[in-house]
Amino acid sequence: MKRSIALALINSLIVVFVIAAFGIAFLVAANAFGAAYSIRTGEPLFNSSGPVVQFSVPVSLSNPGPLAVSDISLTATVRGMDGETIAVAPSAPVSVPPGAEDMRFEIPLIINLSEIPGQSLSLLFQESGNLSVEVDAEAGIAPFVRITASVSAEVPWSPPVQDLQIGDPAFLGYNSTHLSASIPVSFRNTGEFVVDGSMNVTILDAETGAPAGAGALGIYAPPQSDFSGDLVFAVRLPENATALLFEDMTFRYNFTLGFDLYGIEVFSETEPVDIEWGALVSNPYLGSPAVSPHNLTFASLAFPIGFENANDFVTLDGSVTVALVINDQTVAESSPVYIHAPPDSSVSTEVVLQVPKWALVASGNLVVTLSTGLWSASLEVPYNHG
Amino acid sequence: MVKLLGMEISSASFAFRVISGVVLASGAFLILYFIPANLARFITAYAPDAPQPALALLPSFIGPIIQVVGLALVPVIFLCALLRGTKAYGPLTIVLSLLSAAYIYSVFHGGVISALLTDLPLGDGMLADLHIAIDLTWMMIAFLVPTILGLIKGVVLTLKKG
Repeated sequence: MKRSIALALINSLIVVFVIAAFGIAFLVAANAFGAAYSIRTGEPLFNSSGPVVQFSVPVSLSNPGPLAVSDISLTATVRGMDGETIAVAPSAPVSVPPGAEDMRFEIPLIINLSEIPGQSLSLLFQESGNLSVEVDAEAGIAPFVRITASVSAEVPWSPPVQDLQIGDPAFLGYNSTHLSASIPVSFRNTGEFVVDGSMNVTILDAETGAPAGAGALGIYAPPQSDFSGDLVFAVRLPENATALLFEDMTFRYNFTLGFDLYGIEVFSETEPVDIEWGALVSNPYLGSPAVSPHNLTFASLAFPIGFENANDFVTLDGSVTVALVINDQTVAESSPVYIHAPPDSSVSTEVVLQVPKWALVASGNLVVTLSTGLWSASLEVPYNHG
Repeated sequence: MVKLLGMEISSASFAFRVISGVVLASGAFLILYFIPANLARFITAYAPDAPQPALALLPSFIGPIIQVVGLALVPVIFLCALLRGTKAYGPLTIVLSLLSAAYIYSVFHGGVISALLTDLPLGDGMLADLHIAIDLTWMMIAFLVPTILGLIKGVVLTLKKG
């Protein structure tokens, strides 16, 4: 009898638990499908502020069932082309209570450029390739269902700076202390970001390491646009005017070219650059004078004078004078003769000097003085006409 | 009268047992074996617009063990219907409970159903890999409780007949 009651009880429990199990399964399935079918994702939003780039995906979700959909969380991980982690963005867990309608929340993915390793950033900056994106999602209907899903995909990346072209320096001008030049820079922004930054050049003397010049170019390139500009810079010249005028020299510098994006250096390259400086007065010559009487006490000496401007950049505009010095006394000085010598050109002219006739047979020095607006230098040539 | 393992039942009752056994066994064959074994084919035939990822997931969810255990349950269910009240009913109930527990355990993959789908098209030529894991441990336990009760019932019946 007791066994019959026990069996009846067991049979009843079996029926109850079978109904309960199917009931729970139906409830959870209806709850899960109802919530899953209500998921709507909006257009991803993009926002950049300084070095922080933020994507966010608006999601709306309803929960028509009687059980809460709890602990909905997403973690997105982005890896660069070199496998380095660029960003990890965990979202705060969200729960959707029973009966909630059109509950809205955002899943943000924040990339802080300043936290990306330099090499990865440099690659990301210029190279197209595939980024590895992994999204781990988790949600549950406690305590019956817990779903974890992981989606990984390769997402093509278009760099914000593609085909970066850095041209050869073009000479712009000079003054007594500096040469100025410009480097043409161009690239195409194929990415989705605004390239807002600057390009700068720092020039150091290759031998001493002392600063020798600098320049900068502001850069603003909207997405899918071409950028071109000139990076203007100035290079300090040696202070020795005589050497600048009369000697061929090689200025050795180290050019460091940097690209800053939102204040973060994303590209930097150092190149040795040699600037060949040709003498402004190369192969000068002072010919034998043609003597002619000027008056009773003076004679005219006409000196053929010439030189080559071996410099590739600078046009020499100035004047040349010749003075005759005998026993440390200037006995005659010519009027200034204007000279104009473009780069890589030759100049020949004549300088006329009126000297006392007694000086024709004396010995001394001819002092040839070259004056430009910026530099002035003299050469002494022995004079022994007699 | 028909004598069934020492128990005498009327011919009508025997006929009813055979018919109910066949009906239950057929239902079990259909639900526990035939539909799971051919689910992908049915979905393709009757719901051709079903998402391919869902179809690709099916083999992961319905493994061969489910089909074997489902098929094994069919004769046991028939025998349980036929031999109800006999000496064999207790041991048969134990076997039915154990096979049911094994079936439920297989259906729920031990509590966590996981699947890996590769090269899912995302658009724009992009492909994605999806790894999904559904933890249904508590749900499985809810379904296992009746089989445990069935096992107890089988033990009680066996002891009673003994």
